[in-house]
Amino acid sequence: MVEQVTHPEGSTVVIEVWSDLGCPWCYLGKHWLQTAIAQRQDADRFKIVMRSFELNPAAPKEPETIERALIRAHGGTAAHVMQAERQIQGIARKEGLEFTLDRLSANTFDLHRIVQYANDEGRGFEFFSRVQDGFFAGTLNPYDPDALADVAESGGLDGQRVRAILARNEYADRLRADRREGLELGATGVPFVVLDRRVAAPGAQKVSVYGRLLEQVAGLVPSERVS
Amino acid sequence: MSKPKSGLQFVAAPASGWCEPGTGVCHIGTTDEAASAEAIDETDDVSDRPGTRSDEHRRRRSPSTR
Repeated sequence: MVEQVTHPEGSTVVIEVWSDLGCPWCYLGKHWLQTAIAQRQDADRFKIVMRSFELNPAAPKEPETIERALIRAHGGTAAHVMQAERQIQGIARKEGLEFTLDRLSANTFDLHRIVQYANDEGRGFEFFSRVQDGFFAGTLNPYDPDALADVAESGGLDGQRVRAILARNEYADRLRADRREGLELGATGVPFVVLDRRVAAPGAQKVSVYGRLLEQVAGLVPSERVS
Repeated sequence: MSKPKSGLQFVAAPASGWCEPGTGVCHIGTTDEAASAEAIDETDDVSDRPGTRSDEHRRRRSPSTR
């Protein structure tokens, strides 16, 4: 049984989320984690910190359809891979989330370098979340440097700095270190959520599970925000 | 909960889905599979979907989703 050592009331609880863009479960898991947090009266206590986890560092730079990418990487038929995608789409839609099947797949190394910059500015999770939402809604091409710069600027970051980072090789070591640390901590599935460096949840967990983990690290509070 | 070398305590509940860190292959949890099959049956744009019968989905176990 887990030892119930909770933070002092009102103190900040850090939740680290190792995630990658192409990972549909990272998108759903984020929604479920945020829902669990929002159900608590003390939701403002929780700070989500984005950690980079490139699932496929060898992915090509040139974007291709997810159908083509999945078949090339994992085999199978178009019918099989798209059927699986539609299963996830069904779950996402039940949650009220947009989830287009017309997504592009490519290397996410450059995106994660910008995530690292955004982390330095205290906005890594917010930046990644905006990119992720636009990507799954089909309204954003995350492999377009100008699109990333626009998202950054809309979130209060410096678009020119984003372009400069993309033109060089900044933050490469940092994102690789993130991935390495996630593996060392025992990430057997992505998303990989670590709460207060005490409790870990590999894979996308249901709202109720995340809720219990929040209670474990931050204590039980009345859920008055639940309508 | 289990306790690996990192000192972290890991949740024991099965995940709804996950992507493998080593390969990037994604999976749907078996407990969510039937629910997802029902969910896609409710969507509007599934008429061209191959293998759309929900019983076919339910027969499959931990399918790769990527």
